[in-house]
Order: sequence, then structure tokens, then C-alpha cells
Amino acid sequence: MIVPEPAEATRVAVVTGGSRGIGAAVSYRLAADGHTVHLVCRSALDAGRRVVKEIEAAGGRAVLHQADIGDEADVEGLVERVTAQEGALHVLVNNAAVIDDQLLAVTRTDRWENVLRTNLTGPFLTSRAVLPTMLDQGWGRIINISSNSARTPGPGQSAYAASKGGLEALTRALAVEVGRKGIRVNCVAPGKVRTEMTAAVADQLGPDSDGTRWGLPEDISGLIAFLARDEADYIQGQTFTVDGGRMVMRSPGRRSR
Amino acid sequence: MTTVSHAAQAEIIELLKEVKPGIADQAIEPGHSVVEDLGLDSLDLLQLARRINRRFGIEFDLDQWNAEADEHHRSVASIVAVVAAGDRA
Repeated sequence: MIVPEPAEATRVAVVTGGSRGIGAAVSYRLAADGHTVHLVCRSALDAGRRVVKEIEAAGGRAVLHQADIGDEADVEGLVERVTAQEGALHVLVNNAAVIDDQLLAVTRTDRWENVLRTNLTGPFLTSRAVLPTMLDQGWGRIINISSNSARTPGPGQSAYAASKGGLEALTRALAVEVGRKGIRVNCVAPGKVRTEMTAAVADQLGPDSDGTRWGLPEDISGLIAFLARDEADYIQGQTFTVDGGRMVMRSPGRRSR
Repeated sequence: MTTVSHAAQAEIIELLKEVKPGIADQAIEPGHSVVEDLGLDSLDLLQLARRINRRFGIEFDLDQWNAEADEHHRSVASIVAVVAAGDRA
């Protein structure tokens, strides 16, 4: 029987927005793979504590941090704390995001900027902060969480879609810069996933007419965990859609008989 | 050149080849510019500075070294000088 020591057993992961939704599912999953998981959240501390407790109860290691990833000083402090504590930082999952949907014609600048700051500037700040450590290691994984809205936005999603489209472009641009240093940068773009963040949108959209179900965070976390592994070494600068097939379906009116 | 900086130079050339594997077979001279002759970019330099700090236990000030680039043209010797100065400090 072959029982190799998994490399993940000594690896350190940071998951932003790790207390709820996809971030919580990714945290569980990475912890199950052996990572020490540092969850970051801005306000949902109670939820974050529950995730840490559950990971610890299952025999894993997890640490909770409060930080606003759109805030430069917060991000620098966060990464300093993690690297001081662990002496390493291998995996960064840029998952934290906000939705603030409004038709563009009535979108106030400050609300536009708030979405861009969390969803796009945040991943820029966290990626920049972790790069020196990943360069030291000659190994790193940055996994950005985008959305189908980058390609097929609904009305009112201009800020959210622009932030996610920017994040996918950032994924490619950073991949080009750091690939030769052993760092992989990829992106996962979920379709509609039921989380607290999408709850309001989900209620507006109502039940499905196209036969695809709403996804669960656990439908997304497996691919993210795979991209964090050594096996994903040859995957670089890509965005993967995980939406139960919705993106490839024809609209009902164009169905052939 | 002192014995200390001679040893440092050999180690620095080793680190240069680590961060830029493409120059592994190249004969590297003290007068070579690590940017213009050896082709290091800013990411390579950041990686190099951090490896120098760890190897020599100094604080290589990349910004200051870059600011003086007009004088030393980012030569290998200029890095050796910084390390030798740091070692003495």
C-alpha cells in the first residue's frame, strides 16, 4: 500500500471571507487536506469562530483573523501575523466579496468604489502582500474567486461584473509575472451558489426555469482545493466556470425539436 | 578586494543563478549589470534581496540601491559592496 506523506500536511493557507459561504467550504476542505487554514473575515466573527471550532473538532488546524481586505494596513498586518506565526504561506484564496447591485444610472460613486475596493483592490493587496513569502519558497498558489457575472451579468450588476472581470484579468496578468517563480495563479468562476451573500439576489430570481439547480458552496470548494495542490502545477492563468452547466445551455426559445 | 567580499561575491553569484536559472552557465563578472547584462527584472531583484538578507543576515535596501543605479549601474560589485558594508556594520 502506498501512503505518501501529503505535502499539504505542512502547508499554510489563507482564505479571505472564510467564515461563510464558499469561503467556509474551502476552509473545511483545505483543512481536510492537511493545510493549516487562516480564515479572514471583516465582520462575521461568530460564524468564523464556528468554522474554526468545527475544523478543530475534526482534527484540523485553523486560525481566525479579523481584517478588511480592502484596507492596505489591515492586509499587511494580516500577512505579517500569518508569516510570523507559521514561517510560511503557501496558498491564498481570494474569496471575500460583496454584492451591491443597482442599475448603473442610479449607482452612486461611493457604492461603485466600495464594490471595486473589496472585490478587486482586495485581491491585489493580498496578492502583493503574500508574494515575497511565496518567492522565498519558490512555491505558491493564488486562487481567485470570480463569478459567471463577469461574462453574463444581469441588469444591475455593472459594479460586481466589472470587479469580477477585473479579477479574471488580474489572474492572467499576475500569472504571466510570477509563473517562472513556481507560483500558480488561477481563478474559479461559480455560477449561482446559495450563500448569505447571494441570498437577496436568490430571492429576487426565484426558482429556476432552466433545469439547473442552485449550487452549494461544496460544489465549488473541491476544484479550489485541487488548484492548491502540487498536481495543479501545469495549470496557470486560467478561469474555470463551475455552474452546473448553465453557461453552455441554449436559451429555451432556441431549443431544436 | 578583501577576503570577506571575495567570499561574498562567490555567494552572491550563486544566489544570482538561483533566482535566474537562465544564467547558470554564464561567466559572471563583477562589472556585469545584473539588470542590463544578466537580465534580472524587478521580481528577480526582490527575490535576490530577500535571499541576500537571509544568507548574510543583513537588511539589503533595494530602494536605496536602485536610487544609486546611475553610479553603480546595478553591477554585481555594487551588491557585493552593500553586503560587505552590511557585514561590517
